[in-house]
Amino acid sequence: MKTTAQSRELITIWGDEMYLRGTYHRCADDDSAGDRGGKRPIGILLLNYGTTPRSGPGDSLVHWADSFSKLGYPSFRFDLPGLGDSTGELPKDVLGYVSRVTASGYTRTVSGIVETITDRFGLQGVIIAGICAGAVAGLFAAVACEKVEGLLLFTPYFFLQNFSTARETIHRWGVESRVGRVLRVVYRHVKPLVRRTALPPNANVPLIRCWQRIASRELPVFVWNRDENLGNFDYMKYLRANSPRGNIVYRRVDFPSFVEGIGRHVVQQELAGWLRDHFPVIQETPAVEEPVTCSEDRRVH
Amino acid sequence: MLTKSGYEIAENTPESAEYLEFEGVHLYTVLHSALNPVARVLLVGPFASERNYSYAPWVQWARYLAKRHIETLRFDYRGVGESTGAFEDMTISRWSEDVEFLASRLQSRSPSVPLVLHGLELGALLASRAFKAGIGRAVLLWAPPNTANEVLRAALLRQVAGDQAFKDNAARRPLSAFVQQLEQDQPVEVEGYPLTGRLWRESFELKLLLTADGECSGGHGRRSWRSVTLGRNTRPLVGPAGLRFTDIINPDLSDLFRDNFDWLAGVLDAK
Repeated sequence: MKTTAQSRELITIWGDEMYLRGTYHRCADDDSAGDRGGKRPIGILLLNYGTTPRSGPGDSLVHWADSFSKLGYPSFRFDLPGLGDSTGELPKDVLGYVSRVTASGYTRTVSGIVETITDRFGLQGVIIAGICAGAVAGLFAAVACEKVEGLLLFTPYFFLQNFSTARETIHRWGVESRVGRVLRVVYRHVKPLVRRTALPPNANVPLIRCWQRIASRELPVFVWNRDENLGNFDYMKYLRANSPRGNIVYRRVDFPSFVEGIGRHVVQQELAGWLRDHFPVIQETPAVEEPVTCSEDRRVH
Repeated sequence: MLTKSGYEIAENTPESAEYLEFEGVHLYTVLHSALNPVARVLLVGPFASERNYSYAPWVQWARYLAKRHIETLRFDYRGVGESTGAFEDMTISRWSEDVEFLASRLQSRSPSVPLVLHGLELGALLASRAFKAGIGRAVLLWAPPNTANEVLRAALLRQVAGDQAFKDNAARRPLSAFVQQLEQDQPVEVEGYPLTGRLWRESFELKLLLTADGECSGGHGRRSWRSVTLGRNTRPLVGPAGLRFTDIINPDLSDLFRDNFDWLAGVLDAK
């Protein structure tokens, strides 16, 4: 049975009565546990984007994992329980899934994956990358697992999705309806006058505490956010004001999508710079002779 | 090696994922093994952008069949998902070759065990084409469109709708502009996949070849086919899902599964 395809290898982890299926993107100089100048490599674990399989929308996660591995960071994509090829229970609807994520329901699983790949592939530690729900799951796991060395968070949300206040309902209407979108533009101008400073009742307080602990530990974090994900409360502003400064880079998203068009290109460029600054690779790794050229940015501009 | 959390790398799993080398790329396949299989089914999945939505119920169907002694193989087309290859190089013909290659491979595991093709959406068209070419004892078609172009057009429409919701006025374009771009052989990015003019043109030529349920004679006796229209209650097998909190991601498809399994069992018994 062939579980390798040049730069990729299929791996399965068994834990908590579940098979968790993943794909490992090797670096060019990787012999599974490559020792580079006495320093073990840092791996990157990409979690599911929403409820999509581990390849992500438009196979964006495949693309990023390939690009990270070319930079010298062994990369891993895993399906969380019930998603993609992994076994385990999958909630009936999106809200059920998101509620489980926001209640720290995948922390043990993500920590188990991090520990297993760290041991198996001789990594120094792992950076968790997650979009939306994946970002929330990664943040919880970073506190629970000491082998997490950094976080790449795309639009994490700090409120409970199943706890909808009247303001949240109005906000959602503002995002999803045409009239609402017009009113939202107007509201933006008066928002600074009515902005609250205390956390709203549906804030995910345990997650906010996780953030504060991560900031205290000075764990390198790169976080992207966009207005839609802030709800009607600017969590990023709150977190900046109420957490240690830490080692956190904040970016506001100014493109429509992470996974297509210019967004995919921008993400790749920005993250490459951040990775080099915080987790320098001892030896530059030449690119693997790669069978994959999926979604190269040459088509995007 | 067991970690502190009790998790470990699994060497042997009941569902075997592997890469199969074909035409210079690696096709990602997952075999759902069955004890003493009475049949083997090749699941031919939907178009790339639909794959994300339908993945969970598609996997569940494979597991459902495997539990009932029907060994099942599912896969990603070249250039899509876990398979290697560049999407922009793909054509309908290449995906047809993937189907024929894997059907042949599955059949060769034990030629006496009947092979069934089962296609969903674009996969239904590819499966019907392979069946017409003499592959398989039976073919099951879920939500077959009339042509592959309907599938691409639906993906384009979703892109247009998404652009309307999230992009600036300047970046919003009507469907006709995308179509014109494709006809001029310029790629269009749809839900992260670069549609090419070549794929667009070819999509008109892949048509549904089996229009109703039926039977015919073949080299190995009777050959049967069945076409099933999937309603909204089967989402996300067809149509986008996962975009709103109320979207179902794990529907109860037991009636659909039972009904189609019964048909398969009947067809296989009647040989």
